[in-house]
Amino acid sequence: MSEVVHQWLLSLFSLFRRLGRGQFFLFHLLGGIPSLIPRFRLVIQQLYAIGVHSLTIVMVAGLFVGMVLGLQGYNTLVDFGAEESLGVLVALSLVRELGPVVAALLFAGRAGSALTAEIGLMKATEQLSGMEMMAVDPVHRMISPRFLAGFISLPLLTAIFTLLGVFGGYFVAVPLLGVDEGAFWSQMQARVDFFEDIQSGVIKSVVFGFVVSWIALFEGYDATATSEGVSRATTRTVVHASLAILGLDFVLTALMFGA
Amino acid sequence: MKQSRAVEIWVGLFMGIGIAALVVLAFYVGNLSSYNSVTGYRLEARFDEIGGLKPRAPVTIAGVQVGRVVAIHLDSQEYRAVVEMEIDPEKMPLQRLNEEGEPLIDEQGLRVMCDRNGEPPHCSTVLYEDASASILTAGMLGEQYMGLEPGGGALAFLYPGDEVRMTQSSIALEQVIGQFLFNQVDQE
Repeated sequence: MSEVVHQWLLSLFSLFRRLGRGQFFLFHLLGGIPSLIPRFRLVIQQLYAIGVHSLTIVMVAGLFVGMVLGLQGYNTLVDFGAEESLGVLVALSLVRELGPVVAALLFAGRAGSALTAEIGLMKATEQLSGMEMMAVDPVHRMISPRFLAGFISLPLLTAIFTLLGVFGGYFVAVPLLGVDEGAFWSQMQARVDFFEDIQSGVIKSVVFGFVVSWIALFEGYDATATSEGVSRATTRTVVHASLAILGLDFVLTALMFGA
Repeated sequence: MKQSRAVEIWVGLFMGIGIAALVVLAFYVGNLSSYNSVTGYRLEARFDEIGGLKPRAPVTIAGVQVGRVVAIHLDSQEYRAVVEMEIDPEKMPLQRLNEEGEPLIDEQGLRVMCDRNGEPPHCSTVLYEDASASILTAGMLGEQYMGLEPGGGALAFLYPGDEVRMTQSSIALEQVIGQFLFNQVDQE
């Protein structure tokens, strides 16, 4: 019995140790951001790898999510004769919830896992410790630019996702299902509020960008330096980042709209 | 070097599209431009019941939007809702008055309008003193908005800051049904 408790305590301690290491890692990499200003080329390269390469999946996903919303919303609203409100339904659900959350989940799967694998492999092949030998801080040189690029990319990707989703809903609603075009846009514009809806969506995507980049880079940096360790770390990134996104989304929604 | 130029172009394009998407969301979907701080002149109206009227609801004349509701509060003396609206002088300008308080007419028989900074007592709104305000609903389930009727029976005009005295409250469906049932019982 005491053996079980002992094991349990040990794993609890190692969990807290990991959380603590994560905090130190965050402060370390944030400390590297000022030194990036003269070397912004590093960030641009990462923006290309993280942001531009995620563009296709985000755009296609946004379009389809919007189209499905339009179709499903129409079938429900038409029973009440309120299909003119379809624009409001599509825009509000995308701007407030689906845009930030789905874009962040895709980002965690597409870019987060790649970041973890890249950093984990650098660690496994001792490139990071090699840098340390040359008196280059590997966190400042390799991780801070990736963090900054992820932090910048996700809000922009979210905006693209949301906008394409709105247009996807429009394509289904107006040409396909015959909803009145004027009503679609005017009701949307009347009901979607900049400060209440769009601003809170942007705040969500900024928070998600911070958290997903942090988790992905920490998992890579903290990975066991073996091929198995890297593969485990990549899986953990996707799982932990997805859970963090969904959990934080609830907290942020409760803070912004709730109670 | 050539490759890094392509990278820069792609990143620039990505940032450009992202920021453009944000701007379109803000101005087209979110209608941020309706927050423009063009200060118009204010009018006030008191209602017994405002239903679902909210700040930022449109104020219309003959269906044309001329302003917005800016504030709603309760008059706790009379238990009535006080609705403050702001009218855009670009959409409904003030008119110039002569010494007797009648609108100035030009050669073509049209009223002379004041410029943006026109002030009472030389400038008044184009609404008569017996103008009325009512709370209407756009469509069956649509949002509520305020409709103004210019009036015409009175000789004097409303000035900026005045109160529109004739008001028609929002009609709650429950009241209509209640009245209908009451009348039915009365007839039997």
